[in-house]
Amino acid sequence: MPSALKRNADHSSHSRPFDSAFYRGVADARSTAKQRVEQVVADPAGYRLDVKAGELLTVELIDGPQIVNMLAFNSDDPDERFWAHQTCLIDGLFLSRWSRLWGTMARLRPLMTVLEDTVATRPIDGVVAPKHHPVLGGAGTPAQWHYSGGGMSAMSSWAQFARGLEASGLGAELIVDNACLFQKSAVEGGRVTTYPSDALRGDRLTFFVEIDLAVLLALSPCLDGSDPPNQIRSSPRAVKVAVTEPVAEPLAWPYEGMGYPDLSLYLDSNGVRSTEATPTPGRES
Amino acid sequence: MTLRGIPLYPFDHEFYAALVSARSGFTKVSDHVVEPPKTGWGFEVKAGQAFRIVTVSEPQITDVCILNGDDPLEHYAAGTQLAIEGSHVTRMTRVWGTAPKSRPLCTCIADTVKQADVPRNIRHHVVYSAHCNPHHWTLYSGQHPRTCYDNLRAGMALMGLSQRYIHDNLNLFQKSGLDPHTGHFLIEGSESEAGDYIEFFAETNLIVAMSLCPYGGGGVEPDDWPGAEIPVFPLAVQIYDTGMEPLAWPQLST
Repeated sequence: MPSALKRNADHSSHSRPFDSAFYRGVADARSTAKQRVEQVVADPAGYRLDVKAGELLTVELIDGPQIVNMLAFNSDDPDERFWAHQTCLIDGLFLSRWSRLWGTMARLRPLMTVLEDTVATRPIDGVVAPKHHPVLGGAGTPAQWHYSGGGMSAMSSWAQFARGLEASGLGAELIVDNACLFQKSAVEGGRVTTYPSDALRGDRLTFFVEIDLAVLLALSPCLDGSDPPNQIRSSPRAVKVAVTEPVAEPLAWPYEGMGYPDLSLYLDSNGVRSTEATPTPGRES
Repeated sequence: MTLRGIPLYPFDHEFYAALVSARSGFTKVSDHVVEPPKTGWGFEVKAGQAFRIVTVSEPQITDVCILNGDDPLEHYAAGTQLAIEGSHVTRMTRVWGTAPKSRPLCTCIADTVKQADVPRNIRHHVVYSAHCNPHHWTLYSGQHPRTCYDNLRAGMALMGLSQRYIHDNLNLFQKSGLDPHTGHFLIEGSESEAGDYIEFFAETNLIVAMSLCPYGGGGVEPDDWPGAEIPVFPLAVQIYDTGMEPLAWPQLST
């Protein structure tokens, strides 16, 4: 494998191969892509949309800054879903252009790739390198909202996700972690602290969809992170979601020549992660 | 994520201080050494018991999955953990479970690992660094050893659970942090010494699966894995009766 493909994120000791020429080409296709979905999401009630491999998904702010929590899973196999922790290890804590969102075992493959991030981050005096779009979100649980002093009438991001999953006949156990789009945060000591978002109306994130996915979006009751929950009196701001027709065939994963494990050790005859309570064959310990 | 001004969750410091003070009176009920070649392990802990993981000889990272023993769909939630407690575990840190219950599954009541200083907040016992897996090893080393995923799968199997119950985990004895400039993950070699331990009080019945990480003490970067002989060292797991009942946790409506 060419060494140029070996690393994507500088300083990450866990980075993965990345074909930047391919993704630059896909990014260039945005201007001519044909839209098939354009939807305003104004109700904080858990919004689900289904996207196909090769399509572009854009989340755009249309009413001012707003944190949008996002989780995604394989629409044919919900067991394969966004894995924030491997994403953090591989691409770092914050999403930006060319970041990938990684899925769970057994395939551990890119689910989406960020093509466009228009948010510009302003520095904060005394704070080291704040950035937007952290991936280690805790899904804004009802308890977190409650113990932060938030009004009980607001729907937490977790509750929004749970509602969206329930409408799909799926259980809330799929909610483990999520990406926090348009959220401004900084690593401070042992904390990841949230600051008021610098995002503006018109700012957007565009993702290239690598496999068929169901995407759930939750409008954070924390709005743009400016105020603590006990001081928030407004409803979340609307965002626009757009999906194009496919613009390119996603690259096969793994890339040619890349070291890759034997997935048959983990998958059953249906191609999903085995539910048998057994050790990995040949690696019983 | 921590919102500025977030109130603390309820924490009865007096109760946990009393628990810590009572540790010398705990009664050991089991003592098991996890060692190669059996690098995955699983065990149960009853509510009110404590479990201790001990460095036996040399520094060794262990990846640990913690689940409710009565309902394993409730399990450790690292994003929530990071938001409430921060990036590392030490004494008086609680280990939080998934919503909707969103309650502490266990509480750290002892941590003997010491380090001289904490540049860039690279500390021991990390809450967010996931687990190594066959993809990781095959890509970087061309080998597929018993990765943490495989070890955790073996540990889950001992508890009658499938690999689908593997989820976010703690990385005990691992020295890591997030680079505040880049947001990238940093790791250094563990400084734990023989006899060092970390101990948790079980707030509910627990199932615990653990892995002796093939990364050893964490001192060898993935780029250096090919051809490297990374030793894996034993860890002991001890379970104690504490004689104390966990505090009740308030139920919230969702």
